[in-house]
Amino acid sequence: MPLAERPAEAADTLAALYPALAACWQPPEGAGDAGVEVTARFSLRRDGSLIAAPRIVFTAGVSGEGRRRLARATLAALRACTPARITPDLGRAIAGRPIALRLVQRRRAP
Amino acid sequence: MADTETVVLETTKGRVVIALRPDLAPNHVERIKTLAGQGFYDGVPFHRVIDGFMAQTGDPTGTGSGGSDLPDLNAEFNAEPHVRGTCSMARTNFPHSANSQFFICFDDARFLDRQYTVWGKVIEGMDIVDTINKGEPPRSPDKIVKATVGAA
Repeated sequence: MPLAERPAEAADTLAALYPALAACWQPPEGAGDAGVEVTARFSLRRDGSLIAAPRIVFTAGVSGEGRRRLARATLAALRACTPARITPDLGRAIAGRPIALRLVQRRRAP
Repeated sequence: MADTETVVLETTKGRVVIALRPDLAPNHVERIKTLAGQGFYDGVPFHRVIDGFMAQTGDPTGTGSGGSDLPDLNAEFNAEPHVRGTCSMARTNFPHSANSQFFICFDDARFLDRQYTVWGKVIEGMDIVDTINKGEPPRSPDKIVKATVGAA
C-alpha cells in the first residue's frame, strides 16, 4: 500500500528502504478492481543511485496495455525516488547487489 | 425497541441517516462509531460510485486501497440482504480485510450477501445518496463533510 509520505530519515536497513521506495509508487488508474502487484529488480550504488535500468520481473492483476502502463509507472517511480536516501552502512552492504522490490496495491471493494 | 443508534453523514449533497446494526456486526459497528467519533470520515470522498449498484467511501486517499491506522476487522458476514439502502463494509479479496471503507447499495445486490459484512441501513436521505456523483472515481467526487454518531 502506498504510504502517505516518504520517511524523512535515511534508510539504515532494507526493511526501511523498501517502504521509502514504495512511497513514490502509485499504480495507474483503472488497473484492475482487485488491485495490482509488480516486482522490479535493480541494483543500487553505494550512494543510492540506480545501476543501469530496473527490470520488471513480475506483474499481476493487469494484462496487455494495463501491464505496460503499470511497468512504465513503476520504472518512473524508481527513477523519481533515486538516488535513494540510505546510510553509508547500508550503501556498503547493498552496493551492486540485486534488489527485488515487490509493490502491492490491494483495493477494497464490493 | 430501545433507541436505534445511528450515524449521520452530512454530505456535500445533503443529510443521510444510517441506522446501525450491532446485532448483526458488533465489531464493524464499533469501528464505524470509533472512526466517526475521531472525525476520520470528515472530508472523505465517495471515490467509487456506480449507478444502480453502490456508492463507496471511507478511504481518505480516495484510491480504494486506503484504510485507518486501526487493524483490519475479522469478517462478520451475516444473512442480512444487500438491497437498496444497505450499508456494508468494503474489503479486498481476503475476507478479513475490512477496515474503514464502506458502501451504500442503490439497489438489489444480492450476490454480495454473506460475502460482505452488512452493518447498517439508510433510514433517511436515500434520495440524497441517489444524487452522489458517479464515476470510478467521479470527476468531481462528493464528500462526507461530517460523520456524527447519534441516536434516533
